Amino acid sequence: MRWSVIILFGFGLAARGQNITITTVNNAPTAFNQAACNANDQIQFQWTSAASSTICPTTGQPTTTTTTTGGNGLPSSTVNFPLYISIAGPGASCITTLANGEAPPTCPTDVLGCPQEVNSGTPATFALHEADFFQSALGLDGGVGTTSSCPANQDINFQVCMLLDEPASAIGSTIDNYIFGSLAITYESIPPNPPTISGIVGGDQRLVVSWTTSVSLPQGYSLSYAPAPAGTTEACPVNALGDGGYDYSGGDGGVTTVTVAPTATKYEIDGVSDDVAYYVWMTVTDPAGNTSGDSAPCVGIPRKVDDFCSMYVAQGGKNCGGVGCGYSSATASAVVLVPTLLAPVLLAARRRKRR
Amino acid sequence: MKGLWAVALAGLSSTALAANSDTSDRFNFEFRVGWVHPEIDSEPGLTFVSPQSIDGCPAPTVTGGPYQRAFGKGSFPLFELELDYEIVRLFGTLGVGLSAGHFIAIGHGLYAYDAPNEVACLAGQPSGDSTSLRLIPVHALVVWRVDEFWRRWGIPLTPFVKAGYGPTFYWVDNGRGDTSDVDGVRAAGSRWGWEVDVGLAFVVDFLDPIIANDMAQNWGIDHTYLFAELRMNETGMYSSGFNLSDDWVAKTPFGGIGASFGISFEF
Repeated sequence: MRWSVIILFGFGLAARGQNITITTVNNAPTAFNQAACNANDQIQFQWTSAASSTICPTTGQPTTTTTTTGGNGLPSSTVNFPLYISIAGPGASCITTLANGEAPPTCPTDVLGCPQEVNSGTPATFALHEADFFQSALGLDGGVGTTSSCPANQDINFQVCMLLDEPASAIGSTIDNYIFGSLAITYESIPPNPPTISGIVGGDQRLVVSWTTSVSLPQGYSLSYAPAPAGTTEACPVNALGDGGYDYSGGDGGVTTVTVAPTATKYEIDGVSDDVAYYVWMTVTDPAGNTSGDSAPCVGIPRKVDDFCSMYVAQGGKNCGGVGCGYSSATASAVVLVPTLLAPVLLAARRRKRR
Repeated sequence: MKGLWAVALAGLSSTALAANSDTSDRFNFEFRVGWVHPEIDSEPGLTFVSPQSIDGCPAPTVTGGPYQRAFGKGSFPLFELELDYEIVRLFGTLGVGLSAGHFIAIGHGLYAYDAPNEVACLAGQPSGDSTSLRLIPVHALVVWRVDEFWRRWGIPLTPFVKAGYGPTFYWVDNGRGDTSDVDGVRAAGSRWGWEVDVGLAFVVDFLDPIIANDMAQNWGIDHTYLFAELRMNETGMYSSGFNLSDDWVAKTPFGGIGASFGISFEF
């Protein structure tokens, strides 16, 4: 009997201590920029909570239903407990506590500045238009999903707030239990600083460019290069170029631009001509999608390089070719594998023979 | 020469098999690693780059023969696998086998001695491009393992001698990851050569006979050895082209001497 009391007491505490975890769907960035701030762009969220499994350990599903309110891009769901979603603007905080018996605040259904009641359900996802952050949290009411509400050259922090109401009847209590969660979302319309090209090394028909950036977790880089006028020498950075100087991006052979992976810190430009100078410059795109201006350009020159065979011939060796040139590296590797593959077969055969 | 070798090997095998009355079929599989320094720079007629400056530029920082300039003075590991078939008892076992290995030396390409590089004082200096020499030695072997010390008197040492012959396939890669091509000649091919190995194996079974017996019963592995060997070898020393003999231990007028160690399993 004593054990039963303790277990029930513990159950009650556990139910009241749960949190909601909010993440973006597919680990999308938790930042957006001005260009994306329009009626069509949304941020997809998903959330998890141990609440339902705590309440309904047998089925894992809640037992009550509520009426859907919907609106403002919030999903219509089928079952479950009342779920409230709100956006807290800069300087504001999500609601994280409610007194015993206190109900969540209610608002008009077309304003997201305070909690909106929707239904939790399956799948546990919802979407918010990026423009709604300003319309709701900053009072920049240009109408839901308008671009005019998104200011330029500002970084603003928001929070997406969630509140799940576990009805008293569902948890065997006399009062409702509330579960809270939040996720920081950043609006950024200030472009990042350009990356700094830290080195450019000329190889045989290639250039290896390395750089640094102050942007954490960039979305990616754009790297451009163009032939420079004859007589241009290697330098990095090229201080005399850029604004008011030579238009490095308009080289004789035109500009080639490539996209570089966000995790890269260097890039190899292949297929360029030896002994021709090239301007190289790049931009970075931050997590919110803002693209920096051009970096200071550098000049690199691909140069003829002797590999081992070239050195051998240049220093008096006859030639590097020889008998049996008609094989591939795959063939040679297969030769090496013969003893490896044969040994276990023979070992297995001998074991079978002994038995 | 190659044909004669094959005939001799086949004859030895068949004769021994016919005479084999007191041994069961046995195989020996071994893995070994050694450090290899090809004797390429010993090839007659090669010139050596000395540390002389050109037209006021700094002296080149890498000098010597082509191998040393590309890969330095050090050696690189050679990993080899070998499978032997023991065909007759002769104060030990006499068998034939096949070995194959993989070696790669990786170094820096050097800026070529052309006008633009000389003007920039880069000619002969290390570049950011890599270059590599890859070897795949494949040898047919005759192997004599004198395991009577262990069998008769319980001394856990087994000397062995091997003699082998076969090709060493090679190719050279440039900084773009392609096989080098100089004047239309692709830098790939093979060089034939021989080797004679002398080594000593320690019978690991000696340390724990219970585990050794368990391996024999459950895995079919009768004996396990740890070994070290010296390898007298010659590959391409007397013909035009790369001299791939290994002189990691010593250099002789007849070829190089290398060394390796490893583990082998008799089953």
